[in-house]
Amino acid sequence: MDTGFGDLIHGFGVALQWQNLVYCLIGVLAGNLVGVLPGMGVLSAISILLPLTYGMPPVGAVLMLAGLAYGAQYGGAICSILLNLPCHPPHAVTCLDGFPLTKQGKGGTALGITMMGAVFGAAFGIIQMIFTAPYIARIAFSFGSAEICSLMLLGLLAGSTLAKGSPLKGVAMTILGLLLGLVGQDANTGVERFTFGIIDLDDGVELVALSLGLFGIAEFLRGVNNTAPIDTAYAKLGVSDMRPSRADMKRAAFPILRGTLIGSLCSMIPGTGPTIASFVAYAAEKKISKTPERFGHGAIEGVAAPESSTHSSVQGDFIPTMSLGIPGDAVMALLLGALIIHGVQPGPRLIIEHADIFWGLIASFWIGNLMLIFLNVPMIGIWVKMLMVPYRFLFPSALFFICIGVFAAKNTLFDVGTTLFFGLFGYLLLLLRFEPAPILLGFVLGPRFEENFRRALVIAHGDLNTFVERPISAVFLALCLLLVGTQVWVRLRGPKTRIPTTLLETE
Amino acid sequence: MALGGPLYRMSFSHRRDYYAGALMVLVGGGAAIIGSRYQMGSLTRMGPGYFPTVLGVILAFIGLVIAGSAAYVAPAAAEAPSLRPDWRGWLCIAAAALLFIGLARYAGLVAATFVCVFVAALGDRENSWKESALLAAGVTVFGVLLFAFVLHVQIPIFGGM
Amino acid sequence: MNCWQRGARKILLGLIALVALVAPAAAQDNYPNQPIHVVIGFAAGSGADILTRYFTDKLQSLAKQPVIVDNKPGATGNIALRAVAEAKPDGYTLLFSANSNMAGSRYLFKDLPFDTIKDFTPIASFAQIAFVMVVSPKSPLNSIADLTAYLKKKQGALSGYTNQTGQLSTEYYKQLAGVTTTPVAYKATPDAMRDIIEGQLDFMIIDGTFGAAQVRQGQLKALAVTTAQRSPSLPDVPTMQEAGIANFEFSPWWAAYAPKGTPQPILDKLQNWILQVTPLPETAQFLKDNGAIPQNDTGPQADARLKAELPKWESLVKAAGIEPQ
Repeated sequence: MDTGFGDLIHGFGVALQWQNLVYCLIGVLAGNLVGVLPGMGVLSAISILLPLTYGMPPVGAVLMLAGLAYGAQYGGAICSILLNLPCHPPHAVTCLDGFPLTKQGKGGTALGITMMGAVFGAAFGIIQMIFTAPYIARIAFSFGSAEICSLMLLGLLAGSTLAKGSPLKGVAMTILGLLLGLVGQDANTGVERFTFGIIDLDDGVELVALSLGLFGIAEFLRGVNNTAPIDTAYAKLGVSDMRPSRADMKRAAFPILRGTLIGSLCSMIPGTGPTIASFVAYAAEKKISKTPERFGHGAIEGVAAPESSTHSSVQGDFIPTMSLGIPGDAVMALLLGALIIHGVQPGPRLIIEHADIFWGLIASFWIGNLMLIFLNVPMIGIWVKMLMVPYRFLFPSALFFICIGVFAAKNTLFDVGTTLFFGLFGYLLLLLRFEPAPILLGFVLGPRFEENFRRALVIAHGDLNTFVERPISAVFLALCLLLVGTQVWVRLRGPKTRIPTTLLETE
Repeated sequence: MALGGPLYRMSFSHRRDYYAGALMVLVGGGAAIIGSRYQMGSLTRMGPGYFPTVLGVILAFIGLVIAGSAAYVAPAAAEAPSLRPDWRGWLCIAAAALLFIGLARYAGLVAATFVCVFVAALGDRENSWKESALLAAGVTVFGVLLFAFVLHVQIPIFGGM
Repeated sequence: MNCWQRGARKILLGLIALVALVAPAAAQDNYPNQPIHVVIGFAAGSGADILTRYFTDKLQSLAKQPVIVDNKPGATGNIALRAVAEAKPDGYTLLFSANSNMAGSRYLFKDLPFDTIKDFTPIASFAQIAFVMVVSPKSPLNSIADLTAYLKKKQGALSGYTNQTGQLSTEYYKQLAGVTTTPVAYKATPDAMRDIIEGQLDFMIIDGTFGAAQVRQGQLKALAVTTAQRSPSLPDVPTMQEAGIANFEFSPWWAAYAPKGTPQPILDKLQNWILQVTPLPETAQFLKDNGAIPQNDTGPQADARLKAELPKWESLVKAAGIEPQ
């Protein structure tokens, strides 16, 4: 398979045609906009723009819709970091350290690091797509149900200690998330579980509603009439004052690299999108950190790793979609849909038969990401100004944005009610000193874990050995054992070292 | 963050983990009981009841451990949110979301946006009626322009769905 | 300020109510004078959505009003069905739906808050989607006869499915061919691709919109299509009947429905428009590209077809051993 520069230059020729530049710009602009809005996901944005693309040439349509998909990721971190509001699931985990940074007056720095992570992650994803698309597609094929299942287990184990506070409560929250993930129609049998006869729950709880309830509304309930005002003095600073310091950059460099690699790994595994990638990147970063107790209190690594992971995973997700015609998630499925509408048959021959689309798309990734940087870096200063809006005006407006955003995710008002329910429940959890972040992890990984576990066993005719006999799966299981083993060892050995961490956590 | 009185906080924080444990036992136990009503199946064809039951039992067990170790963990409870009940704020936030649902369904985007922001803003003791109304009007204009005209969200501007 | 606001809202609501009262009398003559909403139970970008948007696009130019697609995915389409069943029967809310929802759901679910036959009126049908029986490209099997013979010998053969149509058509084949397999569930067809290609699944019946492209690109091998006629998008692939499974016909077909009680003149108008779109050569090409076949039934024809299918669906659900939920 030739992956020469000639094709890429041809691709730039396509992407630099002025109409295509305009389409790309519209896409990334719209993506950036919905990225900032809570709940209004890429999916709803693409479905809004999709009908507009009918009259367009296929190349322009694809560039525009793809621009939406990666453009949205740029806006996503802003509310997480500045307002503690996880507007989009992939950026939920960024709240954990992003918001504490804001409280310390380093919100601009966190956003700056986010941009660096974004550029690096995206660039890596694109390069990966240029050179390795055909090979990576093959790697994807070595992941069957047993492998995915073992990997999910590893993610769950690594992630249950994701949040600060009592590890036991973290595990409880992970399991609660797993249980919430079971709500809805069972994929294998069609049995409705925990739906209490409500049709709207047949497809399970909406992820956007869950995360905006737990983190958004619960936070408003806690904060109303009770906010320690954030120090806004630094909000008046210029852009240059918020440039990350050399020390911050040094600290973030390796987390960005590791996050990027995790993101690109996740994009190879079918059905493992950016949300899982960012959670895993955060958990891994906390696990290998020498000072894990800093996480949750404003560790810049806790922003750098998940953000770069999200971006590299989003770019990487295009690989199986474009080179095999197999979409990794719902957004990619929509993009394929757009191709089909334009009479382009996705599949392994796409690269050859529609070289202009494939290479034009790759070239436009570069251009689009460049546009996004130029759009967003100067905006950081403006976003930070948002903090000067008093909380008493901010939360009612944010509540509205959440309501309409959650509605737009699936066009159903039922989900707005779900959001409120989880807001109230989340506040109860906060009162009882539970950290809700692992709920999201359990919720995201759980259904895939169960589905693949059950399927692997059907395929293996009920033989549990399938998980250890398959080499990739066995490696993941060994890592699980290692993880639990070290955890237990540290616990048994370290009652002395535990006291200071507890002290640190309570500040 | 010590907004509630220290005495009140102490007494709650001592019992906090008992409540926390009890909640997990309740949720886990409930899930296990409901889950056990679905088919359990075999290893080859695992039924829909298997996972919920197992997870429910584990969660209930962890709940017991949390409650059991409550005495040891309790002193570390200083960081929890304030416990002073703020019924005005809570009711207004809940009502704002519920009113949004109702009005979006029957009266359209303009009414839903205005009332949602207005009621939520009234939840803050520092906001006057006038300020709340102004804020609501501002967000309504912006919200309708953005969501109805730019993003074509499927709620009619006026009137029911 | 607040008082004024309330007053204004009252007047507004009053006006809306007034319009609603006066409207029905005039509605039929100047229908449509506002956007028409077409509800589907599938997400934007899905095969069903692509199909729907082609037709709504054409309807838009005939109706001279915007035709908006409302995607209400979820609960295997039941959420969309409920929304339309509860909508005002004024011709401004329509449903595009497959027969698996209109006929199959009756037997798959116990307590649906609507009746798929009594609460809807078919307007016209417009397309059939051929499902394709596929195996791994590496598989030595080249025909349904090969597959049947192979399955009869093999212990613990595996077949995949993602949706009701796939599941029930697989049961149908197993019943008629006298073979047994263990069904493996997948959430979406792309999820199953790897397991088919790698040969972990012995066969799978997948939807033609996705499947035809994969077969033409050589990623999958097609043994047969489920429709009574060959699919124009896979002209070399025999039908199940041609391949020796007598009586096998399983054709998911799509039709437009209105809520019960929609005035006949409006139904007629809509039926007319849809039946104008189906015979267009452009439509034939579009459907061919997407693994579908035109099917232009009038409303009453679609109604009769649907009712005639009911016993088949009932027996297949029973045969598949699916407990209604």
